[in-house]
Amino acid sequence: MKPPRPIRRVFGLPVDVDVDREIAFHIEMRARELKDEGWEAPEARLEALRLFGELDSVSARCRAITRQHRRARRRSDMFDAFWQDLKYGARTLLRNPGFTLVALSTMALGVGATSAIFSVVDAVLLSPLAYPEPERLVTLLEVSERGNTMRVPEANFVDWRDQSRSFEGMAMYSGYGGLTPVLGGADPVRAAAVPVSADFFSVLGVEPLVGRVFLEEESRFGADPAVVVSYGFWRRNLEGSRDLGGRTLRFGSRSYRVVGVMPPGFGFPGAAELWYSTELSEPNPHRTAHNWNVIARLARGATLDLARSEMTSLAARIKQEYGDDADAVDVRVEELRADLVGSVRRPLVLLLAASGFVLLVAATNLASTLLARAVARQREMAVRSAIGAGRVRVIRQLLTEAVLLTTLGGLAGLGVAGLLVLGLKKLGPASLPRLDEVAVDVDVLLFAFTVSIITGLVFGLVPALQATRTDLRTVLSEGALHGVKSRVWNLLVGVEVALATVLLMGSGFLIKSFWELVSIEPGFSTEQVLTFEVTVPGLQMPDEFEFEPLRHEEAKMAAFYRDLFPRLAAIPGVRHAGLIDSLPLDGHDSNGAFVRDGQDADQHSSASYRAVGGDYFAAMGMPLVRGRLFDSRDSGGPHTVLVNETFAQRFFKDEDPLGQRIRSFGMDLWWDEWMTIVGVVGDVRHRGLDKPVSPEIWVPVEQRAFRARAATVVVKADTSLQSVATTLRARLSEHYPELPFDFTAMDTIFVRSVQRERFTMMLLTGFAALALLLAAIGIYGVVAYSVAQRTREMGIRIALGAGPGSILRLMMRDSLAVVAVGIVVGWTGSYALSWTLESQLFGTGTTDVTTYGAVALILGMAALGASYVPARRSTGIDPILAIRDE
Amino acid sequence: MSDKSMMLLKGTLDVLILKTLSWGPLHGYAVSRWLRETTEDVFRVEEGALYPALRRLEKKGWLESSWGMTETKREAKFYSLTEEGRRQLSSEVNAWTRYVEAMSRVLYRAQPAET
Repeated sequence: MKPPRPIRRVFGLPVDVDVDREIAFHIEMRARELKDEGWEAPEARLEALRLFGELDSVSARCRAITRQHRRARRRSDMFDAFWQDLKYGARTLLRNPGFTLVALSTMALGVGATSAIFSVVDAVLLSPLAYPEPERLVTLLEVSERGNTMRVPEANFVDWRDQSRSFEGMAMYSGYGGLTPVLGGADPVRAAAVPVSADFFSVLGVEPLVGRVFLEEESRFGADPAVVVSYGFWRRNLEGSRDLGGRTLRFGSRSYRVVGVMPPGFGFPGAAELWYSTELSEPNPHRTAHNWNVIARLARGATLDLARSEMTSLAARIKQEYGDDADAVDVRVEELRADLVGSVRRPLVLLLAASGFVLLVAATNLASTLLARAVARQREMAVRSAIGAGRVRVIRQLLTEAVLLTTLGGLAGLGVAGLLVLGLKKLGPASLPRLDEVAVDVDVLLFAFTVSIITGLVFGLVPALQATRTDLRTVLSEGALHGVKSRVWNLLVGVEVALATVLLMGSGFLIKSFWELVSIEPGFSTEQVLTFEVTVPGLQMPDEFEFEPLRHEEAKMAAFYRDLFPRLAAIPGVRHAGLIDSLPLDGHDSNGAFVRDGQDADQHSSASYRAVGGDYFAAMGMPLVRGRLFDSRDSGGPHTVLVNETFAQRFFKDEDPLGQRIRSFGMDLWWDEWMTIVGVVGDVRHRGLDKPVSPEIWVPVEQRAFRARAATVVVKADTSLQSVATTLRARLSEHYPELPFDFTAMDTIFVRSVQRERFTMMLLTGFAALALLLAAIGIYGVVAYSVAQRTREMGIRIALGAGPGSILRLMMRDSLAVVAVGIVVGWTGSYALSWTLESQLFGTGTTDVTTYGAVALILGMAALGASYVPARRSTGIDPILAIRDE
Repeated sequence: MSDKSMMLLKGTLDVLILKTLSWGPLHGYAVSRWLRETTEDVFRVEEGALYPALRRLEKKGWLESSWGMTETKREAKFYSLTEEGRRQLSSEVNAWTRYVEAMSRVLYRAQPAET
């Protein structure tokens, strides 16, 4: 048989037609054969059909098989092409290691920065809380008549819990995060002990790892005290023993049986380590005692809105019932997560946006490099085209290369992100919640890959389209193109510069703001100052507020300090030693009401109230403005008081405060005792460097030790803090074996107070520096490329007598013009985006002219340098060689 | 199917098709006719069963197909053996031969002598 003459079709026949025709041909041929054997025409055809069998089922099977076959072939063709592109791309990348390395590190930095910040955002803002159904967890606060939020009085909490229907459970816990000395573990330690109400753990939905939580009979007044400990506390201080029988811990004025251990990672609120029942104390009936934080779990099917309206009416009912004895007019119900992350959302979103800008700069850089290479490879592309590759095929090839590059870069970026995350965890402010949960996990991995691939597709497409747009025949016949792409290039460089400008502006504002912040005089000196907390041991605080037994305990406190100060003063290296109940910049403050001599109680004003002892003012380097400081005269005798300058100005104006008397109530045990002002001391930024100074009252612990049950000792050291700390620990432990001692430099506390601002500022500055570097690399690349392209032209100019100066000018002029435009666009952009920063700034605005100028200067210098280096090469061109070349 | 004809063993049709195409490209009808004539109708199958088989073999990569002109100037779909198909055929032939030899040795052997 002769081989058939094939019929060429561009695409195969549609499957249906293919099958039908083939079968029709068979039937027809078979019928003809039968006719030759003597059958009549119609019968022959019927017989042929009969012999064929089930026509419909045969044809259906044929179609199914061929469809499968074609699909599989299409897939494998596509895969083959992709694989081919990939291999080819990889070879090209390997052939240009310099280019590849620059492109990869560019991408790695961009993706790394973005992924690292994303991992923080993911852990802090996006990941669900580690409690079951966290969306049902809410916090409740009272709202005063003036619209301020307040903590909740116990009596109101009890009413809420018993009367509301929107909640499955409600619990209260104490908000104060101070550390308490704890005995009974391996060593005396300080731990965060939190009183919690009965349903605390069940509201959060956490189960103990070992043992149990409180029984109902343990959560009531007068019950046998029990304590639940954190996993960390258990491992460190209770040897991680699963047998808790008989273990007791002593803190506050009670001994507690250890009944349970919470699972690792649980430390709500904050970093709590011990939980005990608040019900052990006598209930406080006052509806103005705003002491408690309240959490609740919404009932199934209840919404936040429902809960809000119910609580509002409940608050109104309580207010109505108790009148002036209750001061809350409304209740605020918020999601627990919003409450936890509240103030960090803005800076985090800001940083994520900033890291996105860095990625954009990196991607733009990559696009311009890819374009340069694509143009340089136009000949190769033309050849590929000529041997039958369509434009689509060539674009696909270039895109595959770009995506390969960005994906590899992204992979390296994950490494960068890992390192950055380690750094962030070190640097991150303690106030950033859930920082310990930050990790480069699956979410981040997916994020990085998505970002890398999208970047490759988008930023690879522009150069691919550009490079394949020109008529390929021209390329083949005339050689390299000149200046065709310069517009696209200028655009890319301009975009990079504009983005870098925006980042530099942002970081400029933050740096300035941070500088303003730390330049503020705090009113004390942190130099050579060491602090440690003490708690007066051996107190038997009564459960009820009764003056006489409490004054008895206060006398013990005063005696303890009378004993402590001479000991401290005798320790070598200690120049001054003093004490305060709450250290400035440490996040705590206490405010109280007072009246002047001759005023009624309802004419009271409010001031911060602090107890100090020893040489506190000398140790902190605080100046005495008028009068005298406390001395031995103040241990007995009439009560005395110091005030700060703000107090003197606000409440005494032109009068002389010295010798005036004031009376303070609600702050300690001496409500009736008048205090004579004996001195005025300097102002201190107690609540934070950026917070206004409040009027302050200072009372001596000799007379009023009550507030100093737990206090901070401040030591001004003569020698290194390290050695003083060692000596202090050794000497003090001898005398007070049951007291734990942890030392912190005042400098550390100062830095901690601006940690968040520093964190945001440093990260944004890092991003801005990165963007600047990338933009400079971009400018360098473009100028270097244009120098290479215009060698011949420059050769001619030199031959015609152009000096090096004019050649340099010519080469740099274009790129510098683009940079100038980019800066102006960036200025505009940052002006438009300035609202995002306003709330993060202190003492400076976003219209600060020096920042605009400084940014332009920095970028201008960088651009000048980046274009000068490659441009200088063109002045050394040998005209003869350049013209003969090609 | 008449009782005289043999049931076609599973897979046998495939081998027969491969063998038929080993002499050169054929369209489906020619294959069917060739099979009918050479086997003298011993293997009776419905003629239509050939076509899914052809397409299955094509999917396996043993056959290739293309539309072409017959000697009578008619369009028909031609099948030809691929390299892989040729290898498949020879391995099937070998296996078959070994099978037949082994069977023959058993079936035609004289009764073993008593020992």
